[in-house]
Amino acid sequence: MTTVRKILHSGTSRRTILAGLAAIPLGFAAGRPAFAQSQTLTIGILDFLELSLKPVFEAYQAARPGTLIEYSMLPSTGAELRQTLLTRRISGTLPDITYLADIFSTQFAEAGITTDMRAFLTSGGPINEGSFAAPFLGQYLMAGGDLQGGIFGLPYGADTVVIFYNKTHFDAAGLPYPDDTWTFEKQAEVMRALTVKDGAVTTRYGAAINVPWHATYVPGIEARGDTLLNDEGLYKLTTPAAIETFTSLWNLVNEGVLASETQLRQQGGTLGAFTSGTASMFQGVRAHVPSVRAAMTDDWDVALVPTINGVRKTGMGSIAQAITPSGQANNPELAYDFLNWFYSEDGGMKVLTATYGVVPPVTELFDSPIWLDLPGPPYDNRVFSESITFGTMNPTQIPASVQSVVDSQLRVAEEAVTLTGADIATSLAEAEAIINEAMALELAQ
Amino acid sequence: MQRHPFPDRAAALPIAAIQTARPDAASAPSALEIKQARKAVSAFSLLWTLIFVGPNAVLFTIFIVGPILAAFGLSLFQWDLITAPQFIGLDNFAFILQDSRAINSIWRTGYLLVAGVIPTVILAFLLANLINTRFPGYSVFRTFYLLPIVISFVASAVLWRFIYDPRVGALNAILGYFGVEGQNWLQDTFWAMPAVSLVIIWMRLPLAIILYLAALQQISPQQLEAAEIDGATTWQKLRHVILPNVKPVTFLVVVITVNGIIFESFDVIRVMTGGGPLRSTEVLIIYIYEMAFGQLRLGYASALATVLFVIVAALALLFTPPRRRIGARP
Repeated sequence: MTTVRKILHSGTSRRTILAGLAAIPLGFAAGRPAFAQSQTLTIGILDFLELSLKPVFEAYQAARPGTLIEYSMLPSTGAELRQTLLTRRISGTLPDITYLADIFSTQFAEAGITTDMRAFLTSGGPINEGSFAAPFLGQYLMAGGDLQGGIFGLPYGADTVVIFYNKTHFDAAGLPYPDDTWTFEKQAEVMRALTVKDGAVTTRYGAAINVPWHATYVPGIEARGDTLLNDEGLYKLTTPAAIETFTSLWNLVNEGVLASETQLRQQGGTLGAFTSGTASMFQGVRAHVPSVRAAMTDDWDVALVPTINGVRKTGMGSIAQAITPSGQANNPELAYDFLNWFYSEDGGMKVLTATYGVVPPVTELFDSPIWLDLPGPPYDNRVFSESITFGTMNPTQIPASVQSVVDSQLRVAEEAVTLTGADIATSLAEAEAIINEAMALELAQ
Repeated sequence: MQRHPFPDRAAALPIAAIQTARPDAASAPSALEIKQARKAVSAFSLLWTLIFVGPNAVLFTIFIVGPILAAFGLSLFQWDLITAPQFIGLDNFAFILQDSRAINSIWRTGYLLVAGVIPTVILAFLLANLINTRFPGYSVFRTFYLLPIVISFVASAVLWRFIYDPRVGALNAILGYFGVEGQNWLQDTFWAMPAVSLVIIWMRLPLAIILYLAALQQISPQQLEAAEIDGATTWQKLRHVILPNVKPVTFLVVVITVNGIIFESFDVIRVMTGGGPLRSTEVLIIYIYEMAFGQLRLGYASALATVLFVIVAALALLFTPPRRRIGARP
């Protein structure tokens, strides 16, 4: 006899059974777990950060029983990220905390997507303005306008550009690994030694460097003693320093030893070229490390970028997270608690750095074993924090809409030089004219 | 025999109901009854029309007509999604005439249309005729030609990007076997657009073949037999029997292919070349995207989209001649 029949034949009335079934939900309600009365924090994260941040969110939920983090994905490409957040702002569906890139700090602040984080930094918690490395926090500091002095983002990490190199390629070629004494000329020489060609076609590049990337050309120009912008905030691409910066790199592209954006479109970018073995070196940041570790079969390590004319300059920057107006209005205490925990050595930073994807942006953690002592590769982790000393950033006053024009025009200039043999100075002059036209339009508004 | 006043079966229902309700079911309905029945039929038909057509009409209005009208309106403004829109009249349209990049993108769109539509129509017709002959193994071939339909545009673009790779791509490897030197297809300002056109033709062929195949199978066998009896050659049969019969489908294929190329080329070009090298593949839809989302110039992008709409509408009217000239529905 089945269990149900036993119950029915035990003398228990059907009415009693039905009453018991009806009482079950009430029993759950009375003894419901804490999460049913939880607070929920909504966070919009850049799509490539999911693997790194998911364990962080899980750790926070474990540390704060009853708290739930709901995260949504934001596109990581600039134009799509801006479009998504702007439309979410218009529709009133911004998350409590959102991630953003440095080029959008001013635009998002003015658009009301992010709020002034000074409210959090002065709230009395363990994390304050002095906790962060100044250059990285400075990217999100409003230098002028109505929002002057406001801080509209907290850096997610402290990224600087370093050289990733394939040790197996170097060993096979009998070349010593890059070290702190490397100059740009030495790097070019090694690129030529590592390049493999099949007739006129390069099958393996000495290095993959995205030349039209601001983290490449801005340090190059500054190492040569000039700046990217003039006093009026307009681009200077036809100065000797700028022309020399682009010439030194595009000549290597024309030689077939350096792969830049034009060549890398079919390679999946600099990262794809390096991990597939199509390039022996690439210039990247700490955020690339998880992907390289996952995809790379050869042994590899990192080194400081070479000096130019005795001066070492490297690109640096960071994406950031900020509380949105809806988060500030609806959930400030929970958001503050999450951020304080996120940047703590025993909290978020410990979980996040274990993914290999972040150098902590908190200065007191630069020498912390939570990330320095992670087993390699990469082995020479001190390179990431030491690079901060030589770091230089893309000027923060460049509007995001103009940056789009800059990226596009420099890409066209590179194609003209490398595909059609156009004169570098002429190509840069044409790019500068169009960029400054867009900049003047933006500044006039 | 009494002739039924309404041959339409649906219209006959109320009459049948009246007839069966009357004690004498064989007697004809009165004029009033006929009028009432007509009203009922009319209302009845209208109701069913609304039920079946209504949802589509509503959705079409909301998701197609509405955004088109909104784009027309936005083209008269300057707006960056952040500040308030600013009315500037026809300035955006005037700027198009001076914008060399916009002119270039319109020319590139025309190039892609010519390079994409003509080969698609010709190839689809020839392949459909080949399949219609039911040669041995045609069912296997039929499966292969349908494959592009089930692959997404982006996946197709990624696949072809790999095929075109100058180092490891299949195309250069195959050409190498025949002693032909391969090109850097997607990084050459001359070859990039033909390379992209080939991908688009490959993607548009299946639907065009299906349409032609259906049209070919509709051709009366007696017509073809009669032509054979009259001594017509294969070419004469093609020219005087087959082609006239598939003319309506040809116009349809052209319209569908034009529409597909203009709008669906975005995915392919964005993935394969991004509009480069040196804007050699920057068609109008790519430029519109760059203006709208790269530079947040939504008003100008809407003006460009309006121009694109006019081009597509003109082409659609051009390739959709009056029905009396065709004489048959596609």
